[in-house]
Amino acid sequence: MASLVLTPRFPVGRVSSPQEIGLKDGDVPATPLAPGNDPADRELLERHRRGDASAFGAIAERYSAPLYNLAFRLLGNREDALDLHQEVLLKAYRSLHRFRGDAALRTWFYRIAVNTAKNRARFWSRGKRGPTLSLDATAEPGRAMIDRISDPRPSPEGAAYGQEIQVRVQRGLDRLPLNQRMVVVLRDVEGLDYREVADALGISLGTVKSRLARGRNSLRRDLADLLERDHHDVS
Amino acid sequence: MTCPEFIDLLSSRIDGDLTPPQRVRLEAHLQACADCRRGAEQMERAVAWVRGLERLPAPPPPLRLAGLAQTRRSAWGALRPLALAASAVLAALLAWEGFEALVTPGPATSPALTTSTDEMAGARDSSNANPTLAAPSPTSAGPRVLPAPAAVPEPAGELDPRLAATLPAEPPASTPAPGPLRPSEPASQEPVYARLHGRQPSAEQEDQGAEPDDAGSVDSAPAPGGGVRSAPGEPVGPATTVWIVQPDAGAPTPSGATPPAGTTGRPAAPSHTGRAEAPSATESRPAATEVAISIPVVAWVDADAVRFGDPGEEPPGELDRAGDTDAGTERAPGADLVRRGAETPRPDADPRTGVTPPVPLERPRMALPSAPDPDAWRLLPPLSLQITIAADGRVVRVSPLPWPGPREVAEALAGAVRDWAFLPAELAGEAIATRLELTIEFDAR
Repeated sequence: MASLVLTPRFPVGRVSSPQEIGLKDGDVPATPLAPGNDPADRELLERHRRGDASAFGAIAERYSAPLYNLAFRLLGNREDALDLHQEVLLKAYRSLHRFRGDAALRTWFYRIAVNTAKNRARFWSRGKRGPTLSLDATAEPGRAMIDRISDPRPSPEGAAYGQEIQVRVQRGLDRLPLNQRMVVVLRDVEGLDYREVADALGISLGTVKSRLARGRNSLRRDLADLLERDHHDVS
Repeated sequence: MTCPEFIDLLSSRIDGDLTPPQRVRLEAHLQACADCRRGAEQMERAVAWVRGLERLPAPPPPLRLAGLAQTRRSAWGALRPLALAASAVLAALLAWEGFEALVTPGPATSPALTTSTDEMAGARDSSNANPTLAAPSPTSAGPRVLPAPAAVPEPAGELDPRLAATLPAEPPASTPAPGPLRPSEPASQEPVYARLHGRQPSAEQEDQGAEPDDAGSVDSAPAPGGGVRSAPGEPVGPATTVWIVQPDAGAPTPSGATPPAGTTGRPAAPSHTGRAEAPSATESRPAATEVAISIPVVAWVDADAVRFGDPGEEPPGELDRAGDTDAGTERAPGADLVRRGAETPRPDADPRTGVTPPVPLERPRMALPSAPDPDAWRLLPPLSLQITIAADGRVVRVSPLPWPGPREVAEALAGAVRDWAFLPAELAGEAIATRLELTIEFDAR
């Protein structure tokens, strides 16, 4: 029987080939490297399965910011994003033992997040929560969106794009139907490729492309006045 | 193609996902159509804006992950902040302090519970303790019969690697036949699980029992959690049997094989340590058959106690709890177990191995140790225990498998499971001792 092969330490952020990670002929990894599954993730997963209590903390640290950004772009406000973010991490903690490594851990986290967000959207749509916070937040008078999306320390990117663009783009995302918004956010905000988006949402590649096309086109129309102005400014 | 049809291609154009013919036709159209050209430019810029949205940092306060590897003295106590935060239905900010507490406790990799508190204390101190099985004492080790790994039927993708890892890697040069399971006990029509249950087994009974490795490490200590006692349990549904090791002749027996003549007909256990030891003429230890069975259990946590039941079962209501007895009370009489054992439907035998899985008959409630907030329990990931069930239905050994949750919880639950009673597994119509995995999932209502 093949014994469990512990993953050596690798540079974070890229997938190594078996030769690169020092496997020799005849060595059999416990599980093959799933496409897109980061070796560092695999090592952390292995530690978690061995009962290393610190491993999940490291995993949470890796995915905390991406999950929070995803949640914020999907929900449109900090409070709900924070809530979703925490719920996703707790769900992951409770169920990480079921993760078998046949998909990328990142995709698995995103899948939990979008499913949780979908459930919440259903909850809101049944009217159990009263006025929707996420989708209508930008319409609230006297509460500028930028107050909620900007960090007190503006980044160079934020300054470059300008406050108005940031606000309008987020508003445009908020106005998209949830299924289109999820695809646009996963693809264009989180940078997943088509296959990863399809895996995270549990939909086909064709559905990903069509939803992305419709979502981007709606966004373009929603931002038309700003795009025209920007075009004239540039020219 | 019309302009709207070309517009539909603009998204794929941004991602470079057009086929060559589509690209040629689209670019030609864009050259000719000013509206579509402007639409393409606008979509590119809109997508660039989305991609340039400001990235928010991880929620404050920042993770202090550097300290996560530390093992705190009382991990369970450290879980309380999480419990308090989570009790607000996770709506409020779950402070990272609390989350850190959740993941900080040392791994529950304590070895099997033993009769000796000194041993347990020693195990706690050992950071590299074998998480699955206690190392047997050399002086008390019985005969070990190792199967030929190549002959073990092992369905791909179903075998839990933790259980698989307990299998011996190499067969011994020679594999003597094990002694009979209970050589001195006459055949009886009465189910032995009922006769023996409910009292501390004597040394003689221990020898007659089915502990495989080392009778000296059989856990007969009171449950650390303290609370045991008689709440009638419902049988768990059919478990998943994957494979069985039949070590009669030093090699696994395929499904349906009959035990060799000259034995009692009961299989003996392979070693879990991968070591082969010849039996002495005067010492013949009973053995357990290791089966890849996982019994799922759900734990409902209330303010004062943990109750066990089947997944999908409704949690017990107030009336059901009224009959609960607390620690120190007498267990259900054996006759009651006999009756329930007779009434309990048997799950189907595994077609490949012929083993009928054991069924829990009695799962007494367990008092909450140190009574932390019950919500803290509900956040815990499932705990897997490796248990050995004797042919009389008693649980004779419990070992928590690696678990990121608090060690105290794992030990308390292992102690509680020690007091469960099972309808034992059967092979060819006879009760057999088995070693298997029990997974406790905490109710997350």
